[in-house]
Amino acid sequence: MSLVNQVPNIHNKQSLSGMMRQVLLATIPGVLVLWYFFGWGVFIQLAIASAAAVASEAIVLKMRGKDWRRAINDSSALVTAFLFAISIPALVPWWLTVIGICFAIIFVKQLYGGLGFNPFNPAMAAYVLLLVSFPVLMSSWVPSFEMWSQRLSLGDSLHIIFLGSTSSGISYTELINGFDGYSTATPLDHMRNQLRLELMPAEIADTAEFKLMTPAWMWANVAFLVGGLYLAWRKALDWHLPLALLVGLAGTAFVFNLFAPEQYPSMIFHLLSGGTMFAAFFIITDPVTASTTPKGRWIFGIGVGILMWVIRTFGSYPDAIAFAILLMNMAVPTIDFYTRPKAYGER
Amino acid sequence: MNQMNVINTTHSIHGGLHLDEKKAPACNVAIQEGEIPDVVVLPLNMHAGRDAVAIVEVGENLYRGQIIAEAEGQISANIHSPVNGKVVAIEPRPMSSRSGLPEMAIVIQTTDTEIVRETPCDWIEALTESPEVIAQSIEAAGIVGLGGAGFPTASKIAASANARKLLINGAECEPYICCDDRTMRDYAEQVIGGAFLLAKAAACDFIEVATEDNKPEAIDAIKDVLNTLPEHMQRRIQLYVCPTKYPMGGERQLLEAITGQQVPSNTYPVELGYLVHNIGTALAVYNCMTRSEPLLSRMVTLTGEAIRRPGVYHLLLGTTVKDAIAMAGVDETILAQVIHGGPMMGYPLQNLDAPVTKITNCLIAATADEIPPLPEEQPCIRCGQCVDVCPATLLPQQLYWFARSEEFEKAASFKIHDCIECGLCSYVCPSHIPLVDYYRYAKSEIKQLDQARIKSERSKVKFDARNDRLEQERLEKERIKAEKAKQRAANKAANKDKNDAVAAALARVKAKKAQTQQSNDADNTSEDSKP
Repeated sequence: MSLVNQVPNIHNKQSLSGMMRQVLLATIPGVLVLWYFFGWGVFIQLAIASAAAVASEAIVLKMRGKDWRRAINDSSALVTAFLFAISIPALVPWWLTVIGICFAIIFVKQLYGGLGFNPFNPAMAAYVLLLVSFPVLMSSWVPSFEMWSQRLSLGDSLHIIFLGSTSSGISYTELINGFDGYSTATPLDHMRNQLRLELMPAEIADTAEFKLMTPAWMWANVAFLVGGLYLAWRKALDWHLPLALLVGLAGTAFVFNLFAPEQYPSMIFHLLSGGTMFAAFFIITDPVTASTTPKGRWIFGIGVGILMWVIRTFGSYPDAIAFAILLMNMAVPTIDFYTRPKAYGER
Repeated sequence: MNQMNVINTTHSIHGGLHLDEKKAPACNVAIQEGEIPDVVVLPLNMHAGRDAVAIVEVGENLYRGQIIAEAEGQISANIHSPVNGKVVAIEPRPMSSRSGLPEMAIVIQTTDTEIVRETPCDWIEALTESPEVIAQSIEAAGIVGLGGAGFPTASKIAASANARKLLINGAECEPYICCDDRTMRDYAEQVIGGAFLLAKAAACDFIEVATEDNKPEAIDAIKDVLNTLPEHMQRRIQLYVCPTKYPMGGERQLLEAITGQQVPSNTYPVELGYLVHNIGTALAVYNCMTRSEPLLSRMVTLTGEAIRRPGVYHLLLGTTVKDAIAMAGVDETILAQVIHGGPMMGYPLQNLDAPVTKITNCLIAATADEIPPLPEEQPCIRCGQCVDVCPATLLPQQLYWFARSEEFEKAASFKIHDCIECGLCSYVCPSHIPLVDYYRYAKSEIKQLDQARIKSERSKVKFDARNDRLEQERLEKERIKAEKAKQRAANKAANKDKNDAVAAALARVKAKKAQTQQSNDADNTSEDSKP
């Protein structure tokens, strides 16, 4: 008789890889929206990032004397790859993606001990590395297709990402420097730049340029919200974290907008711009780097939300998510220590 | 129907989970009498506390109900022969414990072909006995907590002198197990009778019976009995119905659900004025007081997919697991393992020759598919699902971290001792980490460290005492020495004084002499000068 000695003897049959696959599945609506607005580059970046992530994870696991097949089995490297690829502009050169992913997997994840041991969110740390090293490339979202007379084909997208120019010879630099006179800024960038020109948020929102660039981000946010709600429904994420982030961000934006609407854009603008929903449901819900106590999760999420607002408002980067999350990652051990719940019967 | 006696609890417990109950089909059949096995194996330790001491010898003939081992020390229980028969061995036998290691047991060859139980007297009549008599009978009968912990009932009563309420725990929350459910359905009156007897023994004024809302038949059966009670007794008893949620049957959880209060850490329910006993224990007390029958048998849930006739069986203590599952028709060809206890807190048996003991509430003869091995352990990703289900409001993932890195002091400061080992954290862990094993390890290490610390503290006290003693002795010696020196000095001084006196006298004489001489000289001089 072969004995299975385990406590307890039964299990709810959930698994880590199952959770990871749920996350991958839930990115689909968002990815489709990004593809619709930003073209084939989105899929190409996903493919490059996934290949680089699985390969680098397998190599490091092998070097560490662990089972390298885990790199594929637990799907955690793939999740990092997806989150990273979704965060970066769709047409950046392939080597940028590879550098980012290798940094995320090798340095941020594996050098700290691999899955479960990394204090920082790998995708966000890599994003920040690239943003600081290649600011122009990383803040250039090639205009969404509505601004184009024709869509960039799959072949041209591949051409640009791997060779630096389309088959008809338009270089990447030309692309990111604007097409048909439009800039490649995101609504967040645009709002900030115009605010510095002493314009009021309402005025800025009324411009044709702003109206043209907004739908892509709004729909992407809606799509990631849908995916996120699916995850919450499947209990693959802790709904406290996204809610806390949204409360922190929306609350801060609401208060400032209430008292100085001529200076601070509305709560809705913050909720539906940049990667707000993606951050709330897919990034800060990385359990490894988030706070783990019930109270701590509220503090962590609200903290990220407030920092996002602060950095978006006073900083000069395209979006504030990565910085806000890394800053709060640093605070996690302290938060966890001071928010231990009272045990049953503890006086 | 008297609705006053039934209360739905409104307080919630932290965490917990509604598990797949799997109580059917075993709970759908009335309790069946087990067969009389050829041999019964009675371990000397089938209760919490010290081993009982065998008082029979190999070859001795025994009658049913004869005491064969006596309680030893404060926490222990008598053991009686459940059959007429002959002692064939007193030797180590494989146990139905987690380790399965052999322990001393009395092995009896049975000569019975049928068991005749005494007809019980009216329990209301038995209730006229004094509390002392009932308590002594319970002690003599070797009754222990039949919910699974096996704590001697008499010791529990003695330790809960301040309890004013008796809680009969019928919240049988673990999947598969349904012996208490079935006992309430089939022997509701006996259970209530036993409860009143227990309450009298423990001087409790009030009785509360609690069960979960997934046992409607048991609730009805208890209600029916309550309605037949005389009014003065009805006023002293209440039935509580709790939501079905594992681990509601843990006494701390059940009390929280009923009273809304938590039993303080490191204390017992008596802190809230409660004495808690199991349904099966109440039935055993009933049998003890109305039939003068010691604890010879118990209800055991025989279930699992490898069992053809699952149900609750009334089994003689000492029946081997092999015989027990054979009675319920085990299919050996698909049997993969037998779990002792429930699927959450129970464990697989190493050897099926191990006996059914006073703490065996369930045997699950499982097929390989029914209880599959866990997949490989993965790293903890701190998802916090364990936090959500922990009924003790702990942080299981942090405790795991501390246990793994052997930071036992931190584990203790995160209240690892309040872990009731219900197993829910491991049940929900997506990384399949055997968390409870880690906690058990940490707890035992902390215990050892504590013992080592106590030992070293004792040694330190001894060492300090020795040092103190030596120091005292040294001081004493010095004091004596100093005194002696003083004495000597005093003597010397006295001598010196004496000498001084002599010297002074001499000096005085000398001075006088000198003076006389001088004056003579002066006289002489004056005389000399005068002329």
